[in-house]
Amino acid sequence: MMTSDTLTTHLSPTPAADAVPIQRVARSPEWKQPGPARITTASLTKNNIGTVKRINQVVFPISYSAKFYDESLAPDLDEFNRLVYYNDVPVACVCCRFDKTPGSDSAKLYIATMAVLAAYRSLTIGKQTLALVLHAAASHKAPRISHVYVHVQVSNTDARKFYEREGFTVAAEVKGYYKKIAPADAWLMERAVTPEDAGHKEGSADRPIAV
Amino acid sequence: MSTNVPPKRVLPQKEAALFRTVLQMYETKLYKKGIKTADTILKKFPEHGETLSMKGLILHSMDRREEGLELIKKGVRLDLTSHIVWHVYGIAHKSEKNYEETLKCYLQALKFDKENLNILREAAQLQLQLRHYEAHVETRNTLLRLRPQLRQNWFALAIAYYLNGDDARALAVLQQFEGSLKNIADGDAELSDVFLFHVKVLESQGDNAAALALLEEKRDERRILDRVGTRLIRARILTKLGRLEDARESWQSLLRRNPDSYDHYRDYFASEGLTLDDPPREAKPRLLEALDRFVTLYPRASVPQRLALDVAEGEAFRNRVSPYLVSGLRRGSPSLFSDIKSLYQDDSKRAIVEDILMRLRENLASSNTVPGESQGKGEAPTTYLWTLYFLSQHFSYLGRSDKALAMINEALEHTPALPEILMTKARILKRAGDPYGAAQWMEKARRLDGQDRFLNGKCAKYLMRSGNIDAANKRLGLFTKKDAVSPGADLEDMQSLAYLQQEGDAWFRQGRLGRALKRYRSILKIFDDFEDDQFDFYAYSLRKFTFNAYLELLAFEDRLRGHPAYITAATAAAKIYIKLHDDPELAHEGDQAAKHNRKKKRPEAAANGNNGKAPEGAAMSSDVDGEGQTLLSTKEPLREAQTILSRSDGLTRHHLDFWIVVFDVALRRGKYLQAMRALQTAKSLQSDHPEVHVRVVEMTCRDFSACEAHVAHTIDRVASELAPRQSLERYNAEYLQRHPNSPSAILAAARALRLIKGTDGSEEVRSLLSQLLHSECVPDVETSSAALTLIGEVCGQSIQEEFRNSCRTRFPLASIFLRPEEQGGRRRDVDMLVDSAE
Repeated sequence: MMTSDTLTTHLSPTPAADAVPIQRVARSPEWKQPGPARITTASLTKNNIGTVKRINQVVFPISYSAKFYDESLAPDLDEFNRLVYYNDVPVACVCCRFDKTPGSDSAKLYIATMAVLAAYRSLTIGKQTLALVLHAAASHKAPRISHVYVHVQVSNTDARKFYEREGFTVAAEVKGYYKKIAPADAWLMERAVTPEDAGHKEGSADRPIAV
Repeated sequence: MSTNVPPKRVLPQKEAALFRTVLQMYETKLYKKGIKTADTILKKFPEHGETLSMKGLILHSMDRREEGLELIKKGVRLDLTSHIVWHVYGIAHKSEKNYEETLKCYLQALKFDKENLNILREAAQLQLQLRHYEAHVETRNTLLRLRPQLRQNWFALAIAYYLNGDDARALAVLQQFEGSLKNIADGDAELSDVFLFHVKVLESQGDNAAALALLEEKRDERRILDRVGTRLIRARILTKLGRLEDARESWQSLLRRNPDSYDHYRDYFASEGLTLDDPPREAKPRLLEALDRFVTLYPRASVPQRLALDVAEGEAFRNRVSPYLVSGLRRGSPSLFSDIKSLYQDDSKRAIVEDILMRLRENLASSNTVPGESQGKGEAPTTYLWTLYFLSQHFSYLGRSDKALAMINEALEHTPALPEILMTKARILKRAGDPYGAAQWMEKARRLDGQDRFLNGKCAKYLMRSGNIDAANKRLGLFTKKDAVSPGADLEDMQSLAYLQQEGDAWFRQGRLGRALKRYRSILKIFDDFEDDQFDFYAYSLRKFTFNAYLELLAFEDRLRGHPAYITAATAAAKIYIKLHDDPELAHEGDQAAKHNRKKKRPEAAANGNNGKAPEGAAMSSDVDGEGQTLLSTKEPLREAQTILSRSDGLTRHHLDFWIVVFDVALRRGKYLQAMRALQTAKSLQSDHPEVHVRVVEMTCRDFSACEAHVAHTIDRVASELAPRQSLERYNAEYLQRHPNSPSAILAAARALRLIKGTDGSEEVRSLLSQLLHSECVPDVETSSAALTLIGEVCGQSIQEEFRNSCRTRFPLASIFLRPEEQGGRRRDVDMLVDSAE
């Protein structure tokens, strides 16, 4: 799904400056885990979609098309598609779409991407973001949402564990799901939306970006 | 006035009524009808001056200026003693902002109608605009005599006296006025300002005790409504009266209200006999003690903590700065570095800050804790991010680009989507001499948040720097009015000085002097507008009783041309005029550039399917002389420069660059005494500044024998005090020794050498400049780039290329050392990146 846009952004304008090596300091065994984070979220707009692209670009091995991002801005997805801030820094985002069941007024919610930057993992940011999505799904009317599902690359055991903790189960293994990356197979993980999800809204202090 | 009306002015009843309608029609802007009616009168009385001038005025307001003015003048000639024709003539001048002439006409009109309130009021306004304070007093006296029942006429007279320096009379008027007041309503805001003004006059007269008494009395009567203002004035007067105990208390109570005001602390300490600006060593313990008290008193205020950092030294500094930094980093305050960097003037403080941050970074990375703190949880990841951010700014500020890049690259890997991080990368690259890479990173930062105006402006600024001027305007267009002719035109309307300066500089760097000059002159023009703006404010402030603010405005306007933005623009424009003087051919280069440009643009525009106008100089496309040719073709460039610069004379002292340019202009005009005065002012600012050194040598090299004998004598004497004419070379060498390994000193010495030895010194200049690239010399991209230009001028192209290659080895990141055509390629890359967003 490479487009000319992603091509130009991948080619760095300043290779020499980018090559200046980072002087890394190794983590010691005494490394202390920070406490859980408080997050705030914002709607996706054409103005901040660049931030979403950037986060996805760093977290996922595949790039998404301009069309994907255009569709993510749809107003009826506003409650599901969020940019997540932690201490006013954009660190995560989630993009979903409806997968309507033909001949019925209910649908499944497909999580197309959910990304948390590596440096901000294990702070319950992903858990809280997913909780927001589930909350929105449980209270959504038209269409009514029965299930939430997601594809996880079979090499990504961390992600699988994460979703399992949140009540997802592997419904199927899709062979050759990915076209350009290896391994090409994916688990399809699914979870039913329960009425309890509607009451369960952690860290939802909703905050629009300050203009 | 009706005593002896000349017969030719008198109209029969019917026409007189028509004339009154003409007046009405003018006022209600029924211009066409007005002209018709005037013509009806003129048919019968073609020599009626008042009607003629009214017709002229209407035409003048209808964009038929010339024609209108002719008629007005004719009207005046036909009826020299009518106040109406003079008034009309004045109005015409006023609409052209020619205040001197307007006033003359009004005064003439007043001769024939001494008590015309309208004209009197307008004359008073004009007298203030032109600072005719004495005449203004008289006009205000007349107005008060005619309308004593109007409140505003009383203090308008008081202000007139005050401005004329006659405090005693001003006070007398105020007292008389205040004595006549009856039944004052509570919360009378107008009177509140009158009393504050009264206090101000007493203070200015030096009667502080009376000022204080009045202030306290009116405060207690609740007549003065501005509570904070009252407290400020009271504290100030108490200090002046030497009642320090009370003054201190007042400042303290003000601090309770706002513990983050630098000014209050300064004033408080002044009442303690202490100063915060460079305090003497023995006063420091007392200052610190007092500041610490404030820190405990106001734990949430950052100002006392920050002030303590200015004062403290050594270990005391380290103990204070460490928690200050950590709290800033935890809060994620993006401005922390700009808050701290002023401490870097002190090398030891800089080293301490660096040491603390480097340790902090290491601790956070290895154990995620802050040194010396043993709390349960680890730090938030953002603390580490802001630490890296601070360190990258720190190293970039100190010119250590590699270290800065290592830090910012790590920050980018840690948090890739925060605009601040990308912006800092852009800035590091800019400082490292890569304007193209910098612009690209700034554009990438901008794409993260399209609604951030600041980011957009920064992006445009960086595009200007990299010479992508059209792209910059495109970016600015995202935030300007959509129906404007071009983004640039809108920004000019909005009086954006920063934009005009940036774009002027960008054109200047490309050698498009006409365009650059146009932008600079727009800035100067905006300052003329600022000056005109005060005109309307007089009437407003009288009506609304805001004359205390008005007095402040007058003071500001009197120093208007000392504003840094004016100075910068004036200096930049003068530099262009100097270039034009030194090389008159430059005036015609614009023609070729324009021609060349037109040729080049045409196929492109066709390919774009554009109307061909939009891409070319988007800023000023509506403009006939987009290239600024008329400005360039001036016959007397130095005079123009002199005129611009002289407007700031006496208003600026601390702007070294300004005095250097004043010198350059005066020297070329042969005004040696003026040049000498400018040079001495510059020298008194920074006697060893590289630019000063070059000018001293330039001055001393000159031959003054052509001047009048006594001038030559004086100059020779003063010049020989500056530098020894016989041994300038040694003087130059000594200068270099005083500043070993300083890039700008090396460059200055090379320029001086060129002045002393001419072409004979080219080899020496070359070897001197090559020192710039030695390892012991502080690396400095800007100076090396200027040296590259100089070496080209002195030693020719092949040696310049050699030097260019050495520069590239020394500054691998700096794209400004690429050959011009390679830089063109980089510039096109930037354009492509900007376009790819559309």
